[in-house]
Amino acid sequence: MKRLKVILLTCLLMFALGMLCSPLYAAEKVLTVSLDPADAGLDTFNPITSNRTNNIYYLIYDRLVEMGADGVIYPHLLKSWKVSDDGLKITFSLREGVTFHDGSKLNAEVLKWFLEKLATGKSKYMVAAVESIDIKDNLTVVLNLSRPDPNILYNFTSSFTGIPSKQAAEKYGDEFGRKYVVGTGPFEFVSWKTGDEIVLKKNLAYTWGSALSDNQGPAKVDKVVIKEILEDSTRFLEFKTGGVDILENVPTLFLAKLKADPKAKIITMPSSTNFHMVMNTKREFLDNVNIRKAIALSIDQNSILKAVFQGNGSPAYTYLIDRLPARKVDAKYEIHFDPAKAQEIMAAEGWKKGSDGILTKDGKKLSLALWSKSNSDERKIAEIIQAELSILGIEVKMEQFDPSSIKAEFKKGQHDLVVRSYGWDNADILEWFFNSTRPGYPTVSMWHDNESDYLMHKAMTRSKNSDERIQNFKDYHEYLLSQYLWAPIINTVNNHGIGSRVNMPSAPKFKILLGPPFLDITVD
Amino acid sequence: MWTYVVRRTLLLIPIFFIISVVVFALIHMVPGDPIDSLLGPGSTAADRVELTAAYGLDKSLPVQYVVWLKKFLTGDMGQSIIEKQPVLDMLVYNAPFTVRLGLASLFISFFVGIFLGIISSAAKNTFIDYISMIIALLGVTVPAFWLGLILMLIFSVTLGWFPVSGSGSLSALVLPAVTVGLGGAGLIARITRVSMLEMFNKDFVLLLYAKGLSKPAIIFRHIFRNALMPIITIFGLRLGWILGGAVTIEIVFSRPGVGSMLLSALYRRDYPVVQASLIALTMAVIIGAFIADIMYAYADPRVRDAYK
Repeated sequence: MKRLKVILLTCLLMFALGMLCSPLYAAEKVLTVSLDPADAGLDTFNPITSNRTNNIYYLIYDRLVEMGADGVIYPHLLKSWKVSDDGLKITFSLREGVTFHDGSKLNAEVLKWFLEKLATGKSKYMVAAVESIDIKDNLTVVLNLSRPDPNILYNFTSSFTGIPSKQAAEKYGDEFGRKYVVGTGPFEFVSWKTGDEIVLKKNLAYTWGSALSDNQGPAKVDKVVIKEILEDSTRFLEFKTGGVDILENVPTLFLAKLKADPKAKIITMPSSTNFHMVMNTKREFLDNVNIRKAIALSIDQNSILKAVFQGNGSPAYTYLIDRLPARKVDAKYEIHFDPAKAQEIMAAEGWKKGSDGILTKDGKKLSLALWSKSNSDERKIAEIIQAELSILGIEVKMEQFDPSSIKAEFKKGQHDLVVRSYGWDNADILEWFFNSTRPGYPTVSMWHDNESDYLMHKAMTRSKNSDERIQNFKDYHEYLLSQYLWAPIINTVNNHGIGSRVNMPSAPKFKILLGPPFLDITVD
Repeated sequence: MWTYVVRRTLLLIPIFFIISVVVFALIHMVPGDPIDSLLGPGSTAADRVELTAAYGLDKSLPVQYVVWLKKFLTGDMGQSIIEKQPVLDMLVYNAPFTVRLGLASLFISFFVGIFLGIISSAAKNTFIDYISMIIALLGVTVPAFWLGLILMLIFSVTLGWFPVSGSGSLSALVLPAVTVGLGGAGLIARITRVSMLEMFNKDFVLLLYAKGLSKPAIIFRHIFRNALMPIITIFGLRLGWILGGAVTIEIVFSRPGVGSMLLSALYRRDYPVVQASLIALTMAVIIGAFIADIMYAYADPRVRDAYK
């Protein structure tokens, strides 16, 4: 009987020890993230068919190359690349041993398939210069271009160019991207409740992290739960109570409160968001470049930065974000706050202030409508601009629209001034907003000018190499600035709230927080 | 009684058609279209034309309506233009969350409202009456989204009793249900109070007192039963109010549901989803009113006798 007791006790102890030591019973390390609401409401995780992506793509998919926070392009799925002297051939050598989450292998055949698919999808413009693709060996492909495209490598850093599994995409058809999402990234897709949460688990086979993370894989957290919470106050309170570990893009309203919280850490990363005010060049008064100039010079970027963004960001003096080389235009083209000069211009144009303080000429009052979306930052900026333009003597009437209807209104061309923002880290955004073939939207300024279009085509399609492209975009940018089509306002930064459970060993080297930096994160 | 039920049921058919026309026309009259959300950078005018035609949005509104209605009546609510999912699947996934929240809120609003109404009428013009009516007034006037945030601050952030948001557990339902429920309780409390006070002055109550019945027995067994009629009437109407409140509260508490689905579809002008969720919500309100009518007829013989 005694022996039986000893045996039983030993078994029990061994079982308890086994339970403690077995990784199966180890507590799962779950990282919970509150997604930036601007990124919510995605329709698919299929990079080929999508016209809109979000940062979660950077966790599920890997790209050929990656963009660092320093603006430099790093190899990732590509071991190396080589551009021929005439710029018409690019040889891509793939990294060896990369597998998709479904076990299939990444090789030259898959890459060729992906590039050909990309050329038929919504992001076809990214590979518009590619004429044909040759497979040289199992890991090498050659892209034959119809013209040199110094921007093509940049395109391959985009979330739209994350490489999906050919095997899975063909197997699941239309369901790929929604029910089934298969990439080579550090995290595998588990589930997606639209408008609620996306669950990912770590890719145990992952060993091919880029130089943008200290850990090359697998990830140190087991699971990532990404919550779509739209209401800013709720996001903040979830973070405060530990319901989420990472608050992606802290709402400006709560930034000061979070900075004062000793338990929270704030990581500031470069952003690609620029706020500006568009002027409709086809409207009365605004068809005069001097009036546009006076308006642009009346906007005090610093006061808006302080009042709306609590100093988080930098004043924008051009149409591009600060880290782009084409942003570095000749100083004389930069648009700085200069109210005295603005008054001088209006006087020279023959405008005089009436008893009500409004500028008048030939019996006409200078009255303009200022539109904005109803979301808080753009509306707040519009309120300040209204006050600043009243000092110049312009009567400004504000109107607000919801995001979807404002685009339809632009197409009618009845707008005067519009506070807007964009998020893009390439100079080709100038083509998107100033190409005269798309008046209304996206060319909200209704800009139509032959010289401008010539410079745009030169920059977009006739640059032989990167330096030439930068110079061409600089020329195009300077010309646009000289026409005062926008009043530049602010370039923002991204502030992310990091909870007390989260350890991040170093400042993220990737351009955004989601993606390679998640390989280095551990949770207590 | 059955004649009345059949008549009221038949009346639902024209109501449905009127609602469907109004909903369809309204969403299409609002500026903006889903194609804006579908077109990405670098897309051309030809891409726009192609996509517009692919979703049948190039046809005239009456034609679009007839096509949609035909499908709708056969149970095909179409496919979400943005999310590429059958709308019915989306509705089936989201509706239980809203129904759960709606029922819990309805229960709280009636429970709290009737309780406050009874005690304030029983203790008329006393401190208890004033306090109850102040609570009722606050319930009616305080905006639900603000109340939601205040409840979050107290019960989630300070006390840590309930999660801030989500829908994963029963505890996550408490704060949103209380937020919507308290808003509805105010009106019910006031109606219960007035109705009860009216009964207090009736002769039969005097008789009951004379018979020596205790006050609680008179209040609960006799006065409350007779005062119930107006409360039943507002039951159905409250259902609509509760569902309307749930739409906002789903966003504040980040809960899935028909409200969240409607709002995100509305922003992206996802017509099939907006149409289906609006019709589902309005039909729920109308069915609520229908149930109230039936209950009213059941409780009041005068109504059902009129249809004999």
